[in-house]
Amino acid sequence: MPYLRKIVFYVFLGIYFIICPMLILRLLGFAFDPAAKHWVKTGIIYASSNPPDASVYLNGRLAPEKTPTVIRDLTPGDYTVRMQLNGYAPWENTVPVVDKKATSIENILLIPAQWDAKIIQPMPVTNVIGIPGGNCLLAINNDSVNNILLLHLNDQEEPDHLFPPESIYREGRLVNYFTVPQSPFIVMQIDLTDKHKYLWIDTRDKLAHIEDISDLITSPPQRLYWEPNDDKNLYTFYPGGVNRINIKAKAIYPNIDEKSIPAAKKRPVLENIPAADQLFIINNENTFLLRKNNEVFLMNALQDHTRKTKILSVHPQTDVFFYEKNGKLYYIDGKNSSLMSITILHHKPFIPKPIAETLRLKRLEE
Amino acid sequence: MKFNYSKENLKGFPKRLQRILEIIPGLTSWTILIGMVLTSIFFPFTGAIIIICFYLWWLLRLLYMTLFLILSYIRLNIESKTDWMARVHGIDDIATYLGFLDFRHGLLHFRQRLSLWTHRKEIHLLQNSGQIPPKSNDIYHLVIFPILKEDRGIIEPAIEALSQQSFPPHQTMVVFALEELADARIHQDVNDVCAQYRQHFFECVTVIHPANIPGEARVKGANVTYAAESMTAFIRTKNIPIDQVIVSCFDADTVVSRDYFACLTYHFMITPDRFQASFQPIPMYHNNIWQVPNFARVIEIGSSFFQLIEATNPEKLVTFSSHSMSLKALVEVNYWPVDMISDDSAIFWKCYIHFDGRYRVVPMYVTLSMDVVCAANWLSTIKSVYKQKRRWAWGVENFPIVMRAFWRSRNIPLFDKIRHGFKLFEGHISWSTWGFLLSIIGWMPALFAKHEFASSVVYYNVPEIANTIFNLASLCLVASIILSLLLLPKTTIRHSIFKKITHALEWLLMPFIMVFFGALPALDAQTRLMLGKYLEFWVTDKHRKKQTP
Repeated sequence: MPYLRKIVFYVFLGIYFIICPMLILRLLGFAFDPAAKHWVKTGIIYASSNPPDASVYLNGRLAPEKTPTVIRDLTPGDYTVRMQLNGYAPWENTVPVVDKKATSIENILLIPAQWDAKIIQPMPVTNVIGIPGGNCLLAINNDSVNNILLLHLNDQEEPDHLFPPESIYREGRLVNYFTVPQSPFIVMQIDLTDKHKYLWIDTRDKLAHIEDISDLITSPPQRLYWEPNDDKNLYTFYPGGVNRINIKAKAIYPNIDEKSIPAAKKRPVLENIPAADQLFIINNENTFLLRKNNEVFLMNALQDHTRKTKILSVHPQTDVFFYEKNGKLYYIDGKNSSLMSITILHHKPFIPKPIAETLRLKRLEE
Repeated sequence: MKFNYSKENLKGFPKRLQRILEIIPGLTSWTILIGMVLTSIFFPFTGAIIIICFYLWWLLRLLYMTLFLILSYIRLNIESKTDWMARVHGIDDIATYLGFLDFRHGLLHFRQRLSLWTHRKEIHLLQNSGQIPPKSNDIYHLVIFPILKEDRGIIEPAIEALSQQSFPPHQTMVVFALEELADARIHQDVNDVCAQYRQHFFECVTVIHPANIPGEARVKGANVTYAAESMTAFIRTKNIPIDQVIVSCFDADTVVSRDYFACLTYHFMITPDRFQASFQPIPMYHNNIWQVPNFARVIEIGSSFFQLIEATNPEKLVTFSSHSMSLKALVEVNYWPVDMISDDSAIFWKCYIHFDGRYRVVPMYVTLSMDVVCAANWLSTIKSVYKQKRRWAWGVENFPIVMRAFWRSRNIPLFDKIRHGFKLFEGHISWSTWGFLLSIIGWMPALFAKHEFASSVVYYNVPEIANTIFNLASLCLVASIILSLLLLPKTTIRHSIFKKITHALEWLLMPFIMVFFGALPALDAQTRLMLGKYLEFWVTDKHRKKQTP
């Protein structure tokens, strides 16, 4: 046995020293060309789509695997990539392949041949206010506070009135509202028998918690700000300075140092953002969902900025709301003013968001 | 070479050298781990290349080990049918025996022929050595059981197995090396068992090891050394030559197979230079195998596998756990170290240095069974298993002492110094690092990918190559599962096929085990040695439920 061990050891050692350099070459993107009998530098294409399982054609030839897939051993040059999935419009683009580099066609949003629109609220609605931090939206009909509906987006229940029947604010008229991205809170300015009222509304619970903060806001501010999850401090901006309001203690701290205001979380700045009335950056931030006037478009954020696909028309002068967690777009139908939804993203993006962001940042840097 | 195999009482250069050598294993492991983490983060291309080279090395080593695991299992299976007593009697009269073997050869099955072929080779080597083995009638066995917490439930099966040996038990002396500090209940149990079984043996005694003897640490080695010294004196009073006595130092829960001492006697007789050899059986952990949590079962089967693999490489084999050797050698090297935890491996190194490298371990394809670590509940078992593995990994304490001895020795060949030194060092380093590299650090280049690396071919190729390697490695896992099922005790008939299937699935815990009961305790032990925070002996929890027939 010891002799056998020695023999096998040296055989395995030999195998290691033969395979290891080949493996490193393979790792670095070299592929052996049998015709030329030497190693050539190659690149790869990583292709993924939303929804997945689309067939991938590379210069017209079907790739062995469906999306998400890595197509290896590609000599440098331009390749026409086509993704095809039943029920969806094919996607095609020409991408460059560079040696030792990966060309990532990541999370391409495939557009269905026909959008499946669902009625959420058949009664006429004049606008929607999305509150993503509270996983809900508010549907407004005219400016009557009594008609504001609260719709929780994570369950299938019917919309309910934001203000309960016994609320003293139901006779009011909505004048203005303030939101902060990713926050479950909204501040509404309403007129109630000729008095301005400011209401702090917390939508985290099934029944919204409404608190009158009118005494704390002495005059109409230019701007309101609060940290998305801070239910205590509110900052009111006036031409002369900034007040901090402690909602719980009902206290005003006038003219605070602006440096003490927590800065809003900075997001990476994308280049070439198209002009729009509303813009949502979706699908691992590689797709723009934008509303311009009464039309909604999808656009690939990373590649061809001239190609945008119109997906629907909405009621003029109304907002839309894209809710990231269920991939749905909420809008007011242009014909009968009903609150509707369509599913834009059927699947969560395949690549985890941090990696996708890394890739995107890389492209931006380049 | 005369060498004080201890870290104690050093002065001057040897003390400084000892300390430096204590630092080296831990420092190396930490350098590898931290170095790989930093390389993965700051030089991901280099990190990815190193990781793939390592994965390939690991795969080939795994395949290599699996191959010899299978061969070793086949050998164990072949030898399980061997009539060791017949061979012992045969060696007593070799001339007649060889003729008998020639006659039998044609009647045997293939497996038996293989066994016979090995047997003939061994006889041939003995004859070529010109050494005459002692007669089996003159050979005595001295069996030492160190006891601190083990009660009657643990020690009775062990001594019962000794009383039922195919080798005549009246040539066996049993000694219970009992710590003075043990509970009165344990003292009573040991005395009762001793009295009950004395009639079967040449002698069965209890030797109480006094507490706090100067120069001793609270370690097993001190206890068994005290017992062995006492028994050596006893043996001399009986006029039995110590070169005809084989000492077996067993854990208290060791239950030997019926042919263990016949097999040991055979190997003692057939081995040239038998006084410069230890005899290592294959440890199995079957005593309570179905009573312990699944992870503990997989770990101990893994330990048996490791010993099976090691058995195929006697040139580098080191004694582990329960083992045997000649009393003559033991006396000559002044018994086990009395201040070291890893007495099982330390005794080999002590002998190896004393005999200037002319000492070896002879593997025996015979099993003995011990308990899997098992505490009162699941969480306590996790802690106990971890502590046991850390104690095993504390074998790294031998490294600085062995290296110091190699430094001083002029008679041990340089090649042997390098070979043994490298194996000792590399074994401990791979023990503490591979689990982390395979399970965690290997994925770091991809996890920390940014900028240039994330858009490179390497980023996408690492997972592909790694997956291929891991898929190939899973073949070894399948082989391990099959062998573990084949090695399960066949006498435990009440355990159904369902239980065996569950056992097979337990092997999926391997990645978790590799980190938490492999690499982590080893790194813990090396770090303690590096920082000079020396480990104290800790007795393993071994609980056994009462078996129902």
